Amino acid sequence: MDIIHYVFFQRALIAGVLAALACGVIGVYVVVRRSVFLADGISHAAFGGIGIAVYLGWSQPLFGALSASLVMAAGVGIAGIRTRLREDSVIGILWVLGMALGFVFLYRAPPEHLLGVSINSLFFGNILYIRESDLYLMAILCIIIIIVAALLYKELLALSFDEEFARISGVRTGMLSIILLGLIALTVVLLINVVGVILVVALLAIPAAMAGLFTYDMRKMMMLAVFLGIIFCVGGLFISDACDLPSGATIVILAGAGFCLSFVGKKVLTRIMVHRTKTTDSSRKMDTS
Amino acid sequence: MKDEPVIEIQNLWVNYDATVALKGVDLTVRKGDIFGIIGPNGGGKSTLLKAILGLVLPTRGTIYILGEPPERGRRHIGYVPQFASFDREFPISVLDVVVMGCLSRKPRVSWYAKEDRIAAQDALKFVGMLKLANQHISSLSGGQKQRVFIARALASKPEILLLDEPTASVDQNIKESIYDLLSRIQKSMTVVLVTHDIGVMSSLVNRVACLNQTLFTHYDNKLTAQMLEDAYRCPVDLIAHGVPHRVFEPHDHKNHDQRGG
Repeated sequence: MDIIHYVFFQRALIAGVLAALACGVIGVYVVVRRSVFLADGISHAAFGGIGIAVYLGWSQPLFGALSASLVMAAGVGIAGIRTRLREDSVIGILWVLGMALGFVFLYRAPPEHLLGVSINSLFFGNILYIRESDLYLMAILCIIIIIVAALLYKELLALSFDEEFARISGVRTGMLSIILLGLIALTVVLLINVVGVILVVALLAIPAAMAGLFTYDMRKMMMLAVFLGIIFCVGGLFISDACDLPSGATIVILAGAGFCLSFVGKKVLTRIMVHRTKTTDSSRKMDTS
Repeated sequence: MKDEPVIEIQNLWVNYDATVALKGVDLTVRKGDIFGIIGPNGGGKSTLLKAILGLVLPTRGTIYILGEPPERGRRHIGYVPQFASFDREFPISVLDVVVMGCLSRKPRVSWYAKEDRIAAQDALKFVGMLKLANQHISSLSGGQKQRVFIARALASKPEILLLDEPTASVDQNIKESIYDLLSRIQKSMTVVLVTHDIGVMSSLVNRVACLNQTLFTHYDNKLTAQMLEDAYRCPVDLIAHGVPHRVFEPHDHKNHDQRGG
């Protein structure tokens, strides 16, 4: 536990908590709207922005990620409203385009710009190397995400549950969908430092999906997802330190294992309950289903 | 005023690309009416509702709801969609679904307040679902869900209730209880419902029209075999077993034969 006295580790812990806050709230929307593929696409497209930022020698490549993921989010949103293209095709195309652009720009980047840039940490996270400036950016993004999500809570809930009803009730659903896509893009950028572009979707999907196993109230689901996200990020950090494992991947494995265990555990518990009340009508129904 | 028109539609045409969905529809719904619109699948019933709700723009013609165009007038409408096609796994309680009915009268960027929850609870009480308020919406049966969606429409205390196939995909008992609910609602607001359930028309409505791209109405507002034939373009037998009030005209088969179907 001595490691906790190191500044780099304290920063990593703060980064983990910030990531958990954002992904708990936005991850619930991603999960209930079945947009996990979209979130994955945005995170991969962000790699293109990082490549361009490194090529241009920006001091904060996350601004590149931010631009690229917002462009991807806007592209998917506008394509959905203005064209008849299938959404998953648009996501797939922008996803690979972003990745390929990222590679090309990194390949051609001047060597002096590549100092301190590691493909490995871009892909799988570099939470132990987070700088103070990264933390400030993450904190600002986190505040923006939570404020917007809180202010638009009832509209976002209506949009996600019943889009037609939201429109009839006067919500500008097209605009709101794009705002939500923007929030997903901001969250993705916030998470890139923690787990890298390839593993971002794990932190968006797993805590929210796991919380969904235990509650059908969206606010409780968000709070539980934040709590689980903090457990996974902090727990993963300590495990990765103790076992000398890469931090991003360890966080994701911990989260994945937590999800599988709680899913199986819930099934087993339900079975036991059903066995106990086998004589009642309702239990017979559950058994056959 | 009892006879005040609440929905006025004049010469409404709606095209989807090259397909004509509605051809010159004229319709006046007056305050206190319980207006049934019947017609075959693909006859434009849903399009007409969407046009009234401002979700589809007319190609030609005008729609006024309490004297306002649909985008503004729809705030006076409580809408009950056809077999609510929401995601079964969506994490939302019955009460939260019904509170959503208050969305149209809340300012943007605000939260639901206590009075919204009270309005929602009153609406749930009215449809007899208050005791299930905290249940997950997907744990309800089809008929219970239909009641919850009626409660959502009532929560905003609308002037007009608009229902799309309220008795589709529920069994006979539940149909009866929904008719009963609608007849109680009709005392305090105008009801417009679209259906292909002829039973509901016979027992409940006081004005009817048949829609198959064009709208067929009848002067004394009774559903006649003639109207159904015009709408369905084939002879229709009006069989209404065990319904309290028959509004159907007796019809003789000779007429049908002469018309040749």
